[in-house]
Amino acid sequence: MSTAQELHELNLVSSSKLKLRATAQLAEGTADAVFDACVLFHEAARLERRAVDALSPCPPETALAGSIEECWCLLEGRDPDAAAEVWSRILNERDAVPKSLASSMLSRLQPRYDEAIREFVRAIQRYPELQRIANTGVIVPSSEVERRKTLAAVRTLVSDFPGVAMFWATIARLEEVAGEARRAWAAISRAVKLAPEKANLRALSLPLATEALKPAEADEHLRETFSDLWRAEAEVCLMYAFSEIVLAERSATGRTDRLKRALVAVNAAFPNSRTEWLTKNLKGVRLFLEASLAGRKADPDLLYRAGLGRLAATSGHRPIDALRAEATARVSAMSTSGAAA
Amino acid sequence: MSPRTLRQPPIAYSLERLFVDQDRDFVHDTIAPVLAWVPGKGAAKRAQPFRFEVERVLRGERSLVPLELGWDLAKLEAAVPGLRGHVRRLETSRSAQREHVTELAAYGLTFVAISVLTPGRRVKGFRKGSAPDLLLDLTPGALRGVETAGRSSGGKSALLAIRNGTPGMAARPKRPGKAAELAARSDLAEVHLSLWSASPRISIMEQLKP
Repeated sequence: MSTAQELHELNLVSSSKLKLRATAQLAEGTADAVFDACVLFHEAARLERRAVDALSPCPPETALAGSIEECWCLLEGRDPDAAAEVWSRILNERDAVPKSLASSMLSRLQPRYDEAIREFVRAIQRYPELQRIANTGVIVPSSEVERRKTLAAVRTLVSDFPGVAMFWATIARLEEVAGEARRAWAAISRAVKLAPEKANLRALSLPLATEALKPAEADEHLRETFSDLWRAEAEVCLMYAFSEIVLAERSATGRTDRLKRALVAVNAAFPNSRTEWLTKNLKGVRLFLEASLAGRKADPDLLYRAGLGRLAATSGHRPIDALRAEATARVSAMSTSGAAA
Repeated sequence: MSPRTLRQPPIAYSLERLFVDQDRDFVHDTIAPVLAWVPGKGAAKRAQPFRFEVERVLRGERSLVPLELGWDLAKLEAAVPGLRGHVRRLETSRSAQREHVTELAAYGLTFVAISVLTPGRRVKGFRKGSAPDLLLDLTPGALRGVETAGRSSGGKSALLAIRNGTPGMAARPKRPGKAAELAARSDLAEVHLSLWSASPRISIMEQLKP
Protein backbone atom coordinates (compact mmCIF):
# COMPACT_ATOMS: atom_id res chain seq x y z
CA MET A 1 0.00 0.00 0.00
CA SER A 2 1.37 3.44 -0.92
CA THR A 3 2.00 6.14 1.63
CA ALA A 4 -0.73 8.26 0.04
CA GLN A 5 -3.19 5.40 0.38
CA GLU A 6 -2.14 4.87 4.00
CA LEU A 7 -2.63 8.54 4.76
CA HIS A 8 -6.02 8.44 3.05
CA GLU A 9 -7.11 5.49 5.19
CA LEU A 10 -5.65 6.93 8.37
CA ASN A 11 -7.73 10.07 7.96
CA LEU A 12 -10.86 8.06 7.15
CA VAL A 13 -10.43 5.83 10.19
CA SER A 14 -9.88 8.83 12.46
CA SER A 15 -12.91 10.56 11.00
CA SER A 16 -15.00 7.40 11.42
CA LYS A 17 -14.25 7.22 15.12
CA LEU A 18 -15.12 10.89 15.62
CA LYS A 19 -18.42 10.44 13.78
CA LEU A 20 -19.43 7.52 15.97
CA ARG A 21 -18.50 9.49 19.07
CA ALA A 22 -20.45 12.48 17.74
CA THR A 23 -23.52 10.38 17.00
CA ALA A 24 -23.38 9.08 20.57
CA GLN A 25 -23.37 12.70 21.77
CA LEU A 26 -26.39 13.47 19.59
CA ALA A 27 -28.16 10.49 21.17
CA GLU A 28 -27.63 12.07 24.61
CA GLY A 29 -29.49 15.09 23.29
CA THR A 30 -28.63 17.75 25.90
CA ALA A 31 -27.56 21.17 24.58
CA ASP A 32 -23.97 20.65 25.74
CA ALA A 33 -23.82 17.15 24.24
CA VAL A 34 -25.19 18.45 20.94
CA PHE A 35 -22.56 21.18 20.89
CA ASP A 36 -19.83 18.60 21.58
CA ALA A 37 -21.24 16.56 18.69
CA CYS A 38 -21.02 19.63 16.44
CA VAL A 39 -17.34 20.07 17.32
CA LEU A 40 -16.62 16.40 16.61
CA PHE A 41 -18.47 16.48 13.29
CA HIS A 42 -16.52 19.58 12.23
CA GLU A 43 -13.26 17.82 13.02
CA ALA A 44 -14.48 14.76 11.12
CA ALA A 45 -15.30 16.99 8.12
CA ARG A 46 -11.75 18.35 8.11
CA LEU A 47 -10.37 14.79 8.22
CA GLU A 48 -12.58 13.75 5.29
CA ARG A 49 -11.07 16.60 3.28
CA ARG A 50 -7.56 15.58 4.27
CA ALA A 51 -8.31 11.99 3.22
CA VAL A 52 -9.23 13.17 -0.28
CA ASP A 53 -6.29 15.57 -0.45
CA ALA A 54 -3.93 12.71 0.44
CA LEU A 55 -4.70 10.99 -2.87
CA SER A 56 -3.20 12.54 -5.95
CA PRO A 57 -4.71 11.91 -8.39
CA CYS A 58 -7.92 11.12 -6.54
CA PRO A 59 -10.43 8.93 -8.42
CA PRO A 60 -13.50 11.07 -9.23
CA GLU A 61 -15.93 8.87 -7.31
CA THR A 62 -13.65 8.94 -4.24
CA ALA A 63 -13.46 12.73 -4.42
CA LEU A 64 -17.24 12.95 -4.69
CA ALA A 65 -17.74 10.47 -1.83
CA GLY A 66 -15.32 12.51 0.31
CA SER A 67 -17.15 15.75 -0.35
CA ILE A 68 -20.52 14.11 0.29
CA GLU A 69 -19.26 12.88 3.63
CA GLU A 70 -17.73 16.25 4.48
CA CYS A 71 -21.00 18.00 3.65
CA TRP A 72 -23.03 15.48 5.67
CA CYS A 73 -20.72 15.94 8.67
CA LEU A 74 -21.26 19.69 8.53
CA LEU A 75 -25.04 19.23 8.31
CA GLU A 76 -24.95 16.83 11.27
CA GLY A 77 -22.73 19.40 12.95
CA ARG A 78 -25.60 21.94 12.53
CA ASP A 79 -23.59 24.13 10.17
CA PRO A 80 -25.51 24.62 6.91
CA ASP A 81 -23.36 27.68 6.23
CA ALA A 82 -20.18 25.61 5.89
CA ALA A 83 -22.09 22.74 4.24
CA ALA A 84 -23.15 25.15 1.49
CA GLU A 85 -19.50 25.81 0.66
CA VAL A 86 -18.90 22.08 0.22
CA TRP A 87 -22.08 21.72 -1.81
CA SER A 88 -20.68 23.97 -4.54
CA ARG A 89 -17.71 21.61 -4.82
CA ILE A 90 -20.04 18.60 -4.95
CA LEU A 91 -21.88 20.06 -7.94
CA ASN A 92 -18.61 20.25 -9.87
CA GLU A 93 -17.38 16.81 -8.79
CA ARG A 94 -20.72 15.25 -9.65
CA ASP A 95 -20.11 15.98 -13.33
CA ALA A 96 -16.96 13.85 -13.32
CA VAL A 97 -18.73 10.56 -12.49
CA PRO A 98 -21.44 8.69 -14.42
CA LYS A 99 -24.82 10.30 -13.87
CA SER A 100 -26.53 7.22 -12.42
CA LEU A 101 -23.69 6.64 -9.95
CA ALA A 102 -23.68 10.30 -8.86
CA SER A 103 -27.42 10.27 -8.40
CA SER A 104 -27.22 7.10 -6.30
CA MET A 105 -24.34 8.45 -4.19
CA LEU A 106 -26.24 11.69 -3.56
CA SER A 107 -29.60 10.07 -2.80
CA ARG A 108 -29.13 10.37 0.96
CA LEU A 109 -27.47 13.78 1.06
CA GLN A 110 -29.47 15.79 -1.46
CA PRO A 111 -32.86 15.82 0.36
CA ARG A 112 -31.15 16.38 3.68
CA TYR A 113 -29.12 19.28 2.28
CA ASP A 114 -32.12 20.90 0.56
CA GLU A 115 -34.16 20.76 3.75
CA ALA A 116 -31.34 22.08 5.93
CA ILE A 117 -30.68 25.03 3.64
CA ARG A 118 -34.39 25.87 3.40
CA GLU A 119 -34.61 25.84 7.18
CA PHE A 120 -31.44 27.93 7.56
CA VAL A 121 -32.50 30.61 5.08
CA ARG A 122 -35.98 30.76 6.65
CA ALA A 123 -34.43 31.21 10.10
CA ILE A 124 -32.05 33.96 8.99
CA GLN A 125 -34.70 35.85 7.06
CA ARG A 126 -36.72 36.16 10.23
CA TYR A 127 -34.12 38.60 11.56
CA PRO A 128 -33.48 41.89 9.72
CA GLU A 129 -30.62 42.48 12.19
CA LEU A 130 -28.66 39.71 10.49
CA GLN A 131 -29.36 41.10 7.06
CA ARG A 132 -27.91 44.38 8.29
CA ILE A 133 -24.70 42.67 9.48
CA ALA A 134 -24.40 40.81 6.20
CA ASN A 135 -24.89 43.99 4.17
CA THR A 136 -22.67 46.31 6.18
CA GLY A 137 -20.15 44.00 7.86
CA VAL A 138 -20.80 45.97 11.05
CA ILE A 139 -21.59 43.62 13.91
CA VAL A 140 -22.18 46.14 16.68
CA PRO A 141 -24.99 48.62 16.02
CA SER A 142 -24.59 52.10 17.46
CA SER A 143 -27.85 51.98 19.41
CA GLU A 144 -28.15 49.97 22.60
CA VAL A 145 -31.65 48.80 21.68
CA GLU A 146 -30.45 47.52 18.32
CA ARG A 147 -27.50 45.80 19.97
CA ARG A 148 -29.80 43.94 22.34
CA LYS A 149 -32.12 42.96 19.51
CA THR A 150 -29.19 41.68 17.46
CA LEU A 151 -27.84 39.68 20.38
CA ALA A 152 -31.26 38.14 21.05
CA ALA A 153 -31.60 37.23 17.37
CA VAL A 154 -28.23 35.53 17.17
CA ARG A 155 -28.78 33.71 20.47
CA THR A 156 -32.04 32.29 19.12
CA LEU A 157 -30.35 31.25 15.89
CA VAL A 158 -27.46 29.59 17.66
CA SER A 159 -29.84 27.39 19.62
CA ASP A 160 -31.00 25.94 16.29
CA PHE A 161 -27.61 26.06 14.58
CA PRO A 162 -25.02 25.61 17.33
CA GLY A 163 -22.41 24.53 14.77
CA VAL A 164 -22.16 27.88 12.97
CA ALA A 165 -18.94 29.42 14.27
CA MET A 166 -19.73 32.89 12.92
CA PHE A 167 -22.85 33.07 15.12
CA TRP A 168 -20.76 32.38 18.22
CA ALA A 169 -18.20 34.97 17.11
CA THR A 170 -20.97 37.52 16.64
CA ILE A 171 -22.32 36.79 20.12
CA ALA A 172 -18.81 37.18 21.52
CA ARG A 173 -18.41 40.61 19.94
CA LEU A 174 -21.82 41.83 21.12
CA GLU A 175 -21.25 40.55 24.66
CA GLU A 176 -17.80 42.11 24.72
CA VAL A 177 -19.21 45.51 23.81
CA ALA A 178 -21.86 45.07 26.50
CA GLY A 179 -19.07 44.51 29.05
CA GLU A 180 -19.96 40.83 29.54
CA ALA A 181 -16.42 39.55 29.20
CA ARG A 182 -17.02 36.05 30.54
CA ARG A 183 -19.97 35.46 28.24
CA ALA A 184 -17.93 36.83 25.36
CA TRP A 185 -15.11 34.45 26.23
CA ALA A 186 -17.47 31.47 26.43
CA ALA A 187 -18.88 32.33 23.01
CA ILE A 188 -15.54 32.89 21.27
CA SER A 189 -14.20 29.68 22.82
CA ARG A 190 -17.07 27.80 21.17
CA ALA A 191 -16.36 29.48 17.84
CA VAL A 192 -12.69 28.47 18.04
CA LYS A 193 -13.57 24.88 18.96
CA LEU A 194 -15.77 24.62 15.89
CA ALA A 195 -13.39 26.28 13.47
CA PRO A 196 -9.84 26.34 14.81
CA GLU A 197 -8.61 26.79 11.24
CA LYS A 198 -10.10 30.31 11.16
CA ALA A 199 -7.35 32.69 12.18
CA ASN A 200 -9.67 35.59 12.94
CA LEU A 201 -11.49 33.56 15.61
CA ARG A 202 -8.25 32.59 17.31
CA ALA A 203 -7.15 36.21 17.05
CA LEU A 204 -10.33 37.49 18.70
CA SER A 205 -9.99 35.01 21.54
CA LEU A 206 -6.72 36.61 22.71
CA PRO A 207 -7.92 40.01 23.95
CA LEU A 208 -11.04 38.34 25.37
CA ALA A 209 -8.83 35.99 27.38
CA THR A 210 -7.19 38.98 29.04
CA GLU A 211 -10.60 40.41 29.94
CA ALA A 212 -12.40 37.27 31.05
CA LEU A 213 -9.82 34.95 32.58
CA LYS A 214 -7.82 35.10 35.77
CA PRO A 215 -4.36 36.59 35.10
CA ALA A 216 -2.59 33.22 35.30
CA GLU A 217 -5.12 31.60 32.94
CA ALA A 218 -4.89 34.50 30.50
CA ASP A 219 -1.11 34.29 30.56
CA GLU A 220 -1.28 30.58 29.84
CA HIS A 221 -3.53 31.24 26.85
CA LEU A 222 -1.11 33.89 25.56
CA ARG A 223 1.90 31.67 26.20
CA GLU A 224 0.43 28.94 23.99
CA THR A 225 -0.05 31.45 21.19
CA PHE A 226 3.44 32.91 21.61
CA SER A 227 5.04 29.49 21.31
CA ASP A 228 3.30 29.07 17.94
CA LEU A 229 3.89 32.61 16.64
CA TRP A 230 6.32 31.43 13.97
CA ARG A 231 3.43 29.88 12.08
CA ALA A 232 0.62 32.19 13.20
CA GLU A 233 -1.35 34.36 10.81
CA ALA A 234 -0.81 38.13 10.85
CA GLU A 235 -4.11 38.93 12.57
CA VAL A 236 -3.32 36.45 15.35
CA CYS A 237 0.08 38.10 15.90
CA LEU A 238 -1.50 41.55 15.94
CA MET A 239 -4.20 40.65 18.46
CA TYR A 240 -1.58 38.88 20.55
CA ALA A 241 0.41 42.12 20.63
CA PHE A 242 -2.63 44.12 21.75
CA SER A 243 -3.30 41.59 24.51
CA GLU A 244 0.24 41.89 25.87
CA ILE A 245 0.02 45.69 25.69
CA VAL A 246 -3.23 45.66 27.68
CA LEU A 247 -1.66 43.46 30.36
CA ALA A 248 1.50 45.59 30.41
CA GLU A 249 -0.62 48.68 31.02
CA ARG A 250 -2.55 46.91 33.76
CA SER A 251 0.45 45.94 35.85
CA ALA A 252 4.06 47.13 36.02
CA THR A 253 5.23 43.59 36.82
CA GLY A 254 6.85 42.11 33.74
CA ARG A 255 5.86 45.14 31.68
CA THR A 256 9.04 45.27 29.60
CA ASP A 257 8.93 41.56 28.85
CA ARG A 258 5.34 41.87 27.71
CA LEU A 259 6.14 44.77 25.41
CA LYS A 260 9.11 42.88 23.99
CA ARG A 261 6.94 39.86 23.25
CA ALA A 262 4.38 42.15 21.63
CA LEU A 263 7.11 43.57 19.39
CA VAL A 264 8.27 40.07 18.45
CA ALA A 265 4.68 39.27 17.45
CA VAL A 266 4.29 42.44 15.38
CA ASN A 267 7.55 41.81 13.53
CA ALA A 268 6.50 38.20 12.90
CA ALA A 269 3.23 39.44 11.42
CA PHE A 270 4.59 41.74 8.70
CA PRO A 271 5.60 39.05 6.17
CA ASN A 272 2.14 37.47 6.43
CA SER A 273 0.09 40.64 6.22
CA ARG A 274 -1.96 40.62 3.04
CA THR A 275 -4.22 43.62 3.52
CA GLU A 276 -3.42 47.30 3.61
CA TRP A 277 -5.29 48.06 6.83
CA LEU A 278 -3.44 45.27 8.63
CA THR A 279 -0.02 46.42 7.48
CA LYS A 280 -0.74 50.01 8.50
CA ASN A 281 -2.11 48.90 11.85
CA LEU A 282 1.01 46.80 12.45
CA LYS A 283 3.17 49.81 11.62
CA GLY A 284 1.28 51.90 14.15
CA VAL A 285 1.63 49.27 16.88
CA ARG A 286 5.34 48.89 16.12
CA LEU A 287 5.87 52.65 16.47
CA PHE A 288 4.03 52.55 19.79
CA LEU A 289 6.06 49.60 21.08
CA GLU A 290 9.40 51.00 19.99
CA ALA A 291 8.65 54.26 21.79
CA SER A 292 7.41 52.47 24.91
CA LEU A 293 10.44 50.20 25.10
CA ALA A 294 12.75 53.19 24.65
CA GLY A 295 11.00 54.91 27.54
CA ARG A 296 9.58 57.62 25.28
CA LYS A 297 6.02 58.82 25.17
CA ALA A 298 4.31 57.56 22.04
CA ASP A 299 4.29 60.09 19.22
CA PRO A 300 0.87 61.82 19.11
CA ASP A 301 1.13 61.69 15.32
CA LEU A 302 1.76 57.94 15.40
CA LEU A 303 -1.39 57.15 13.44
CA TYR A 304 -0.49 59.63 10.69
CA ARG A 305 3.03 58.19 10.50
CA ALA A 306 1.56 54.72 10.07
CA GLY A 307 -0.53 55.95 7.15
CA LEU A 308 -3.76 56.01 9.14
CA GLY A 309 -4.66 59.66 8.72
CA ARG A 310 -8.39 59.10 8.62
CA LEU A 311 -8.32 57.09 11.82
CA ALA A 312 -6.18 59.79 13.46
CA ALA A 313 -8.61 62.49 12.46
CA THR A 314 -11.75 60.69 13.57
CA SER A 315 -10.97 58.41 16.50
CA GLY A 316 -10.49 60.82 19.39
CA HIS A 317 -8.90 57.98 21.41
CA ARG A 318 -5.30 57.41 22.43
CA PRO A 319 -3.53 56.14 19.31
CA ILE A 320 -3.01 52.64 20.70
CA ASP A 321 -6.70 52.41 21.68
CA ALA A 322 -7.74 53.59 18.23
CA LEU A 323 -5.52 50.95 16.65
CA ARG A 324 -6.94 48.24 18.88
CA ALA A 325 -10.54 49.29 18.24
CA GLU A 326 -9.96 49.34 14.50
CA ALA A 327 -8.26 45.93 14.51
CA THR A 328 -10.98 44.34 16.65
CA ALA A 329 -13.73 45.64 14.36
CA ARG A 330 -11.89 44.54 11.21
CA VAL A 331 -11.02 41.08 12.49
CA SER A 332 -14.58 40.58 13.82
CA ALA A 333 -16.01 41.54 10.44
CA MET A 334 -14.05 38.67 8.88
CA SER A 335 -16.55 36.26 10.52
CA THR A 336 -19.64 37.79 8.99
CA SER A 337 -19.35 36.36 5.50
CA GLY A 338 -21.30 33.26 4.53
CA ALA A 339 -24.90 32.26 4.13
CA ALA A 340 -26.16 35.25 6.11
CA ALA A 341 -24.80 37.39 3.32
CA MET B 1 -39.81 -18.33 5.80
CA SER B 2 -39.66 -19.91 2.36
CA PRO B 3 -39.39 -23.74 2.04
CA ARG B 4 -35.76 -23.38 0.93
CA THR B 5 -34.73 -21.65 4.15
CA LEU B 6 -32.32 -23.69 6.22
CA ARG B 7 -32.51 -23.45 9.99
CA GLN B 8 -29.09 -23.22 11.61
CA PRO B 9 -28.33 -24.04 15.23
CA PRO B 10 -28.41 -21.03 17.59
CA ILE B 11 -25.25 -19.00 18.03
CA ALA B 12 -24.55 -17.47 21.43
CA TYR B 13 -22.57 -14.24 21.56
CA SER B 14 -21.45 -12.20 24.53
CA LEU B 15 -21.37 -8.50 23.74
CA GLU B 16 -18.08 -7.96 25.57
CA ARG B 17 -16.41 -10.14 22.90
CA LEU B 18 -16.89 -7.27 20.48
CA PHE B 19 -13.89 -5.55 22.08
CA VAL B 20 -11.78 -8.43 20.77
CA ASP B 21 -13.51 -9.08 17.46
CA GLN B 22 -13.68 -5.43 16.33
CA ASP B 23 -11.77 -2.18 16.82
CA ARG B 24 -12.64 -1.02 20.33
CA ASP B 25 -12.87 2.63 19.29
CA PHE B 26 -15.67 1.74 16.88
CA VAL B 27 -17.44 -0.55 19.33
CA HIS B 28 -17.20 1.72 22.37
CA ASP B 29 -19.98 4.16 21.47
CA THR B 30 -22.48 1.51 20.43
CA ILE B 31 -22.55 -0.50 23.67
CA ALA B 32 -24.85 1.74 25.72
CA PRO B 33 -27.32 2.12 22.83
CA VAL B 34 -27.43 -1.68 22.36
CA LEU B 35 -28.12 -2.15 26.07
CA ALA B 36 -30.80 0.53 26.01
CA TRP B 37 -32.46 -0.60 22.77
CA VAL B 38 -32.38 -4.40 22.61
CA PRO B 39 -34.22 -5.34 25.83
CA GLY B 40 -37.17 -3.03 25.12
CA LYS B 41 -39.65 -2.07 27.81
CA GLY B 42 -41.18 -4.39 30.40
CA ALA B 43 -39.37 -6.66 32.83
CA ALA B 44 -40.53 -9.85 31.08
CA LYS B 45 -38.60 -8.89 27.97
CA ARG B 46 -35.40 -8.01 29.77
CA ALA B 47 -34.11 -11.51 30.53
CA GLN B 48 -30.95 -12.61 28.75
CA PRO B 49 -30.19 -14.00 26.27
CA PHE B 50 -31.96 -11.82 23.73
CA ARG B 51 -32.75 -13.99 20.76
CA PHE B 52 -32.76 -12.45 17.28
CA GLU B 53 -34.02 -14.50 14.36
CA VAL B 54 -31.43 -13.55 11.74
CA GLU B 55 -32.40 -14.31 8.16
CA ARG B 56 -29.16 -14.67 6.29
CA VAL B 57 -29.16 -14.40 2.52
CA LEU B 58 -25.91 -15.38 0.85
CA ARG B 59 -25.62 -15.92 -2.92
CA GLY B 60 -29.36 -16.54 -3.10
CA GLU B 61 -29.34 -19.15 -0.31
CA ARG B 62 -31.48 -18.36 2.72
CA SER B 63 -30.82 -19.59 6.20
CA LEU B 64 -32.25 -18.73 9.58
CA VAL B 65 -29.64 -18.18 12.26
CA PRO B 66 -30.94 -17.69 15.80
CA LEU B 67 -28.53 -15.26 17.48
CA GLU B 68 -28.59 -15.35 21.27
CA LEU B 69 -27.11 -12.13 22.53
CA GLY B 70 -26.08 -11.63 26.13
CA TRP B 71 -23.62 -9.61 28.16
CA ASP B 72 -21.79 -9.35 31.42
CA LEU B 73 -22.48 -5.84 32.62
CA ALA B 74 -19.46 -5.75 34.94
CA LYS B 75 -17.12 -6.70 32.10
CA LEU B 76 -18.72 -4.21 29.76
CA GLU B 77 -18.48 -1.46 32.36
CA ALA B 78 -14.77 -2.17 32.73
CA ALA B 79 -14.40 -1.42 29.02
CA VAL B 80 -16.89 1.46 28.95
CA PRO B 81 -16.66 3.47 32.18
CA GLY B 82 -19.97 5.01 33.26
CA LEU B 83 -21.93 2.56 31.13
CA ARG B 84 -24.81 1.98 33.56
CA GLY B 85 -25.50 5.70 33.92
CA HIS B 86 -25.25 6.15 30.18
CA VAL B 87 -27.77 3.37 29.53
CA ARG B 88 -30.13 4.84 32.13
CA ARG B 89 -29.93 8.26 30.48
CA LEU B 90 -30.66 6.83 27.06
CA GLU B 91 -33.64 4.89 28.45
CA THR B 92 -35.19 7.57 30.60
CA SER B 93 -33.88 11.03 29.79
CA ARG B 94 -36.31 13.30 28.01
CA SER B 95 -33.47 14.82 26.03
CA ALA B 96 -32.31 11.46 24.58
CA GLN B 97 -32.73 11.31 20.81
CA ARG B 98 -34.35 7.95 20.14
CA GLU B 99 -33.53 7.85 16.43
CA HIS B 100 -29.82 8.10 17.22
CA VAL B 101 -30.11 5.43 19.93
CA THR B 102 -31.68 3.13 17.34
CA GLU B 103 -29.05 4.06 14.76
CA LEU B 104 -26.14 3.31 17.11
CA ALA B 105 -27.74 0.11 18.39
CA ALA B 106 -28.10 -1.12 14.80
CA TYR B 107 -24.40 -0.43 14.23
CA GLY B 108 -23.55 -2.34 17.40
CA LEU B 109 -25.67 -5.31 16.32
CA THR B 110 -24.08 -5.21 12.89
CA PHE B 111 -20.66 -5.43 14.54
CA VAL B 112 -21.97 -8.53 16.29
CA ALA B 113 -23.34 -10.02 13.08
CA ILE B 114 -20.10 -9.39 11.18
CA SER B 115 -18.11 -10.99 14.00
CA VAL B 116 -20.41 -14.02 14.17
CA LEU B 117 -21.16 -14.63 10.50
CA THR B 118 -17.83 -13.64 8.97
CA PRO B 119 -15.27 -14.33 11.71
CA GLY B 120 -12.04 -12.39 11.31
CA ARG B 121 -13.55 -9.52 9.33
CA ARG B 122 -13.30 -6.14 10.97
CA VAL B 123 -15.02 -2.83 10.34
CA LYS B 124 -12.47 -0.24 9.22
CA GLY B 125 -14.57 2.82 8.56
CA PHE B 126 -17.89 4.45 9.17
CA ARG B 127 -19.71 7.00 7.10
CA LYS B 128 -23.03 8.74 7.15
CA GLY B 129 -23.44 10.75 3.98
CA SER B 130 -23.77 7.85 1.57
CA ALA B 131 -24.22 4.11 1.73
CA PRO B 132 -22.82 1.80 2.95
CA ASP B 133 -22.48 2.93 6.57
CA LEU B 134 -19.85 0.48 7.79
CA LEU B 135 -16.81 -0.12 5.62
CA LEU B 136 -14.81 -3.33 5.60
CA ASP B 137 -12.34 -2.16 2.96
CA LEU B 138 -11.48 1.46 2.19
CA THR B 139 -9.81 0.92 -1.19
CA PRO B 140 -10.84 3.86 -3.40
CA GLY B 141 -13.17 2.79 -6.18
CA ALA B 142 -13.63 -0.71 -4.74
CA LEU B 143 -15.23 -0.22 -1.36
CA ARG B 144 -16.62 -3.12 0.63
CA GLY B 145 -19.20 -2.45 3.30
CA VAL B 146 -22.42 -3.04 5.16
CA GLU B 147 -25.46 -0.81 4.97
CA THR B 148 -27.28 -0.81 8.28
CA ALA B 149 -30.69 0.23 9.56
CA GLY B 150 -32.79 -0.38 12.65
CA ARG B 151 -36.46 -0.14 13.53
CA SER B 152 -37.81 -0.21 17.06
CA SER B 153 -40.87 -2.13 15.93
CA GLY B 154 -42.51 -3.54 12.84
CA GLY B 155 -40.58 -6.78 12.48
CA LYS B 156 -39.97 -8.27 9.07
CA SER B 157 -42.42 -6.07 7.16
CA ALA B 158 -40.65 -2.94 8.44
CA LEU B 159 -37.28 -4.38 7.41
CA LEU B 160 -38.54 -5.40 3.99
CA ALA B 161 -39.85 -1.86 3.49
CA ILE B 162 -36.29 -0.64 4.02
CA ARG B 163 -34.92 -3.28 1.68
CA ASN B 164 -37.45 -2.92 -1.11
CA GLY B 165 -38.65 0.66 -0.66
CA THR B 166 -42.17 1.99 -0.24
CA PRO B 167 -44.57 3.32 -2.86
CA GLY B 168 -45.43 6.99 -2.77
CA MET B 169 -48.59 8.04 -0.97
CA ALA B 170 -50.38 11.35 -0.49
CA ALA B 171 -48.62 12.23 2.75
CA ARG B 172 -45.38 10.37 2.12
CA PRO B 173 -43.03 10.46 -0.84
CA LYS B 174 -41.91 7.29 -2.57
CA ARG B 175 -38.89 5.81 -0.86
CA PRO B 176 -36.55 3.72 -2.99
CA GLY B 177 -35.31 0.40 -1.61
CA LYS B 178 -31.76 0.11 -0.33
CA ALA B 179 -31.18 -3.21 -2.09
CA ALA B 180 -31.70 -1.88 -5.61
CA GLU B 181 -29.76 1.30 -4.89
CA LEU B 182 -26.75 -0.55 -3.54
CA ALA B 183 -26.75 -3.20 -6.24
CA ALA B 184 -26.52 -0.42 -8.85
CA ARG B 185 -23.46 1.19 -7.30
CA SER B 186 -20.48 0.60 -9.56
CA ASP B 187 -17.99 1.91 -6.98
CA LEU B 188 -18.81 -0.90 -4.52
CA ALA B 189 -16.98 -4.20 -4.86
CA GLU B 190 -18.98 -5.86 -2.09
CA VAL B 191 -22.00 -4.76 -0.12
CA HIS B 192 -24.29 -6.28 2.47
CA LEU B 193 -27.53 -5.21 4.11
CA SER B 194 -27.88 -5.47 7.87
CA LEU B 195 -31.39 -4.69 9.12
CA TRP B 196 -32.63 -4.98 12.70
CA SER B 197 -36.00 -4.84 14.41
CA ALA B 198 -36.11 -4.64 18.23
CA SER B 199 -39.70 -5.80 18.60
CA PRO B 200 -40.08 -8.49 17.45
CA ARG B 201 -36.37 -9.31 17.44
CA ILE B 202 -35.71 -10.02 13.80
CA SER B 203 -32.83 -9.29 11.48
CA ILE B 204 -32.00 -9.58 7.79
CA MET B 205 -28.35 -10.04 6.82
CA GLU B 206 -28.06 -10.14 3.06
CA GLN B 207 -25.11 -10.03 0.72
CA LEU B 208 -26.13 -7.91 -2.26
CA LYS B 209 -22.81 -7.75 -4.14
CA PRO B 210 -20.94 -9.55 -5.55
